[in-house]
Amino acid sequence: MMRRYLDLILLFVVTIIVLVLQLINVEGGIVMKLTGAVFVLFAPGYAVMAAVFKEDVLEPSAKIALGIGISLAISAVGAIGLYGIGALLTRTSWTFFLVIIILGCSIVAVVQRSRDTFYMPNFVAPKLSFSEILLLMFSLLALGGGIYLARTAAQNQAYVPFTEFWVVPQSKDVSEIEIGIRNYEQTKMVYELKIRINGRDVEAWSNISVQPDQEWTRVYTLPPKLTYNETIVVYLYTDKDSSKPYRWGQIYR
Amino acid sequence: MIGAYLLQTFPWKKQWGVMFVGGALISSGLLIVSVSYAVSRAGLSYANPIYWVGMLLQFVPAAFVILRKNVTRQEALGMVLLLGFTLYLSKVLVNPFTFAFSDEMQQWRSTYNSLETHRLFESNPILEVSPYYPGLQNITHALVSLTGWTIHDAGVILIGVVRVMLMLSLFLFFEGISRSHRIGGLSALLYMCNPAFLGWTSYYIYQSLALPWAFLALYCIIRLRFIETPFIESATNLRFGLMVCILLMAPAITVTHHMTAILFAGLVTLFAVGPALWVKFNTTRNWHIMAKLARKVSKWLSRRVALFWILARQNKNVEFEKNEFGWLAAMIFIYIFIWITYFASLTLPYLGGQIADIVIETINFIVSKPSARTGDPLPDLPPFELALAYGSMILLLIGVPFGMLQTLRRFRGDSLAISMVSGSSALFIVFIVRFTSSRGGEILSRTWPFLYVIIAFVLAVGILFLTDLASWIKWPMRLGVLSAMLILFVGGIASGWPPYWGRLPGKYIVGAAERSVDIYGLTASTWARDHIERNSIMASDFMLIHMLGSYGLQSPVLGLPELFLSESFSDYQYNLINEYGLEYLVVDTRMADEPPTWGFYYGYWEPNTNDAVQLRYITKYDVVPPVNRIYDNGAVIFYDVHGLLEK
Repeated sequence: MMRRYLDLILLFVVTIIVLVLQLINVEGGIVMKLTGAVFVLFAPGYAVMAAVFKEDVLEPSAKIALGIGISLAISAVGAIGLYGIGALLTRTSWTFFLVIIILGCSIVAVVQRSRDTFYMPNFVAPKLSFSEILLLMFSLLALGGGIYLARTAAQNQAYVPFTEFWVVPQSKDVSEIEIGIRNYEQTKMVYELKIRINGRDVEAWSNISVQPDQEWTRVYTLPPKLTYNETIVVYLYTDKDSSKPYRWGQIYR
Repeated sequence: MIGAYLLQTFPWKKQWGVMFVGGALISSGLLIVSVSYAVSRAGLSYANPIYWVGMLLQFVPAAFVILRKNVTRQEALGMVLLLGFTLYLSKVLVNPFTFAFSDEMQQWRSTYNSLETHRLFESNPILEVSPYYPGLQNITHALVSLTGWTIHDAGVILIGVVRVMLMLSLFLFFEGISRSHRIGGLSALLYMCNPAFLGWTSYYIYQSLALPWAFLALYCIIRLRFIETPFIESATNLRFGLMVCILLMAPAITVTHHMTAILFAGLVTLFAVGPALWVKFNTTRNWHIMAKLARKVSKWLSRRVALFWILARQNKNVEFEKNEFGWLAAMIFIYIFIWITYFASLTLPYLGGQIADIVIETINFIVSKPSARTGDPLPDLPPFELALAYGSMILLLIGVPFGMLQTLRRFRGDSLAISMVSGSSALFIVFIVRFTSSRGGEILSRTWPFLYVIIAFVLAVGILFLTDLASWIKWPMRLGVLSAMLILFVGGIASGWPPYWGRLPGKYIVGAAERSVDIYGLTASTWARDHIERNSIMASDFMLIHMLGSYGLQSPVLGLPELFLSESFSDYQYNLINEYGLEYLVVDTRMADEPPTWGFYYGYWEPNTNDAVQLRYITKYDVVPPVNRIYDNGAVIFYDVHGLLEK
């Protein structure tokens, strides 16, 4: 008896897990990722198939293809329908929309199967020999190894170390400027800053120490304007070479 | 041969055959490809040969298993599925943490907008038409909302699942038409030789999603046709179920990708009207005319004219059954019409402009003097790849007509197979456009995923005719066929996208699509997102525009090379800035290091640049008052040009 409804019971379990995670507002986690993926990518389509094909007439490969294809079609077109009736696309609206589809179709399928006394789904677990299991494990290891290697190499790819430097006016009259440094040098850096207005030094900071991947910012209030046009230049030096600016920015006011 | 003998004699379970051996080899191929990526990132020169070894190790076992005469259905399906998936991984692992292709970034922006606003149809400054085809964005939206993945992770997993659907659909579709799992497997395998398979059908773009739907819907259509006993209850139910599937997928295709929807409708129309046209054509008189024409064209062909006579005799009096594809084609066209009219009216100017350009370029090519003709030759490929790229094209030009004849011979009277034969002739038209339009390469690469469905089928029929010839030439013939398939596969990759300079990951290259996306451009875009008002109007080079328009959430204007490639700042640049209301100009100073690999910095319409632009040209805004120099990361510089805008 259980065997007749096994697939629908699994659908029901996935749906309930997603619904509960939504109701208790869980964010992230492996259970949410796995059940959420099945809930979007396969469950709706499988439920629709179970409802519209009264008998187990499709072969497994067609079931998988149609399960994915119809699930995706439901999300692609369903979102337009949801939006059309005035619903915003949120986690809640998605959950309830897909729950209605999955449970609605599952109920239709249960009713149909309960009427059809001859219905028996063809669930066949693949039987593998020892050598085939070994080869399968080797294949999975090779695939996993390939993915791991490519990701690790991408993470560790060398690049020329650099520093981001910016000078941004904070208001239209440029009475204040934000000066920022972000260190991508892969090592701790010590910087020096100089601000010049029309060629005259007005401010300097030294020993600005910034750790790798960290940021340093200051909002600097400029002195009152003395001439009609003023050019504010901010120079950034490193402690390795304080004779030549490493970066520079320029603001007109 | 020894390997084949061992494979055939080892006591593998009959159901799975040598599938697991093939699977282990294909997986090892992917591992080797990953090694080549790591080697390439380290800047070592021998990455390319390792890459090709890995790719061949993926393709050869699958081809070898599928070409066997006694291949089982599970073996063929398993090989096709696994190879399709590992080839997808081969693309994903080039950039495993970010979308680096321009079209992927366009889709990323549309998805981001809908996730942020919870609404559809939000404007996308880097691809205006994209929000009006929200299928891909909607599914990614659902995945991100319900799993907590990032857009990138959700997109990669979504297209991976779609790849499984694509391979299953292709196999089932081809098997459905031919009623042979051998042809099904071989056609799907040949489909993977198409030059767009590694790129265009693997990217996070709307075509990658819509295309498998189209094939799956076609499979349902084929299944509908072969329900032989329509009045038995189970058959009626199967019919109903398949109809529901088609009715769900057709609108999904329509709202996901314009070109796939139109070409899907075209394919269904071909299936609907192809047989009727064939009946009109298939008269003894017409075959006589064909034979006379062939005799005139070539003396060599005249010896083969007998083929036409045989075909004429075989197909004479063949009655084609009526099918139901007419209403389906009409329904899809109505969907498309409604969608374009009421929701996506931008589609017409977007597609119309491109189609008009192609037609005009082709006409100009035909009417202009030979010396004035400018086509789009294959890019500068290494000699080995160039030879195989041309080799694969020549093989197609020979193999497709041969396959067409064999299909006519084998499937005489079968309306769908005959429709595939008629559709295959489109190959020759597309080849003409390829070499006459200046954007022929791009057009062909976008056409391949559709065209190859048809030609893979006729090629497979032709190949099986050769491999099933008399036993005394069985092995030489199989080796020949395997070699030809290898040329198609390698030549397809060589002539397709990504090009050879972008196939492997590595250090930054100037004007080189995905290879121009690196930490400098990405951090500059992130900085723009955090420090500059959203949707500020900017001008920059082609790849920075896409990074700024997606990850930077800005509103860049494509093109405008005149702003950067001129020696000095003049009224022309001033007027241009005001005409477009530009607020920021962004330059990558590394452009001055070398000429653009892709042939342009800003857009394909810019004058051809054989030399690198001079650094003083692109940094001339350093000394133009009142242009503020607000950001510098050693490569990328932002200029704030608000001061140049007239109030």
